[in-house]
Amino acid sequence: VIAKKTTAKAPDSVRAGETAYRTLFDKAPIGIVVADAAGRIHDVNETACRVLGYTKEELAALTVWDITHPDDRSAFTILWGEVVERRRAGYSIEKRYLRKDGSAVWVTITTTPMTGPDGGFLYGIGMFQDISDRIRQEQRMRKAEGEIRKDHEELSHVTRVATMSELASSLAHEINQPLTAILSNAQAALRFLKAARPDLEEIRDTLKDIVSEDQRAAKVIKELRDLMKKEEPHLEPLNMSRVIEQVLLFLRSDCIIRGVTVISDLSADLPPVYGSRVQLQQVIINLINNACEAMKDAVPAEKMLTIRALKKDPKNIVVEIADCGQGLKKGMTEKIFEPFFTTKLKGLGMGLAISRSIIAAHGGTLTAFNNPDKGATVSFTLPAEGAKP
Amino acid sequence: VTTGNQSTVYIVDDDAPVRKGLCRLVGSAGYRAKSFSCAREFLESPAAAGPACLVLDICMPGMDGLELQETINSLESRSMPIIFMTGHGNVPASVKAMKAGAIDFLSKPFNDHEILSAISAAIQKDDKTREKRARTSDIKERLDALTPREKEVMRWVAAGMLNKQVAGKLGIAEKTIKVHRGRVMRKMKVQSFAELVRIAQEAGLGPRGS
Repeated sequence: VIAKKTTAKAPDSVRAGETAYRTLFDKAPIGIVVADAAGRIHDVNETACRVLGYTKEELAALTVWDITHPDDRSAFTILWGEVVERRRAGYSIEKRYLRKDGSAVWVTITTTPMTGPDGGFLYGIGMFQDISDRIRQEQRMRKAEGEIRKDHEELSHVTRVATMSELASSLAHEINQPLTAILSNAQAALRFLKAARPDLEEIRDTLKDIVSEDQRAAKVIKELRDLMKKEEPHLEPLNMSRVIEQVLLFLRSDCIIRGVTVISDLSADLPPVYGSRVQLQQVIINLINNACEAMKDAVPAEKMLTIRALKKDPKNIVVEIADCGQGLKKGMTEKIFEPFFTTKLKGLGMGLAISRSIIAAHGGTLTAFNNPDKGATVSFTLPAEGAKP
Repeated sequence: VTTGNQSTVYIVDDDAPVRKGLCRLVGSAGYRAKSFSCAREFLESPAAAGPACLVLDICMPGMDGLELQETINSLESRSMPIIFMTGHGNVPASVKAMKAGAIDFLSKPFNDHEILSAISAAIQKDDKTREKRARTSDIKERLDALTPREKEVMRWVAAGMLNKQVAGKLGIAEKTIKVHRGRVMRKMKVQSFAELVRIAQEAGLGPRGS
């Protein structure tokens, strides 16, 4: 590309051609760096000088390693070596150069070798474009996304904790039951031991029951802790029937206190869905709560809540929670999903909005409609694992 | 403490492990324990012969504890002292239960001596009630054997009137009163005048009674 000493002897036509190429080289909108096998910079164009903040002379004294960001040097060394040894025809990568002022500049660079008549390596020619703007924008977007996710998680955690505290007395009941069984059994065993000839078989059975009741209490506490925990949503394959059963473990007493009979129809062979157990449980707790609330003024015999989980089609499952309350007023089927919309005296009005966003994040949809006979149904779909959301 | 093998403790709780544990504890104190998962199941079971009490969870699906209390209080055949249990302190419910005659209101979990002393008190109360009820029905049976005239003679005699006074009041001969009085003593199976007065009082047979 550059032949300094020969210009004087060359004919005009050749000189004109070289000038044209030199202009093309310098004025090209991409940066060009030419380096020898050792990486010493042999030539650069004006665009490269402008992007890197050096003069041509300064760059002529440097190697390509000197202008490569320290974090990218080892990857560059491998690729460069392969091109020099002719094991690689060239490469295109995104990397960071280091400017004269020490700042980094993101570039996308394509490097090809220039070979001699014998096919041996002469120079490596790197052609690059400054992509700092694009990278910066991407980083901004990623950060914004992260913040949105964080806000979402924060808000869903807050509402989750609020929901759980409303259920506190019901939860106390769920823990008191096993504690009652444990204490009665333990004290019965102590009394059995006072007998002249204690019935060891009976005492063994009693101890076994104590163990299983202790595990039952521990399970309630573990489930509770999982729900209250604040952490990045952990995604895993889930059987929604199991997820609902776990929720009903908490809500059983709450529904009894509210006088609501829960009928569950959970399919035994649901395909797994991929999602966050805690978040989906939060949605179900929320929907059951709403359904109970909707039946607050219903006559006792009509306070029935039906929860169903079934396969909708080969690619989706559906979960439905139906109440026998007043049903939704005209125009409310969408309004109820708006943030801060509430018909209750207490509550943030965030429950359904968050539930819908959680379901959407799982690739499903959450909708509400009135039942043909009485009350309303809130239903959500989730894609079965394997089916692309 | 052992009120005998005849006493039955009914346990109604919707939680199976709790029922099992309570049956063991109650059994270890020498009572016969019978447990049921809901109010309906309990009401449909045959009543035991001896003294009994009911250990009842206040919060159950279907008919709750307070409703069951109301139901059995209205059925003389099933009426018995009740000890309530609750998994979460519910003050209004406990007040209502105690007002309706509950023996005790225990918060789960509770110690053996708490429930066993409540059961002991409940069984004693039921024992007395049954005894009284049996005696009342016995007296009623005897009273039913009296003729209206004999019943009238008994009422005035028991009120402390002399034979002569009763004769004057009823407008019949004193001799006839004596005959009636002898029959009353025999039919009421009493040996003395004092005993007759006591039975008349127990039967609510006062001077102004029917």
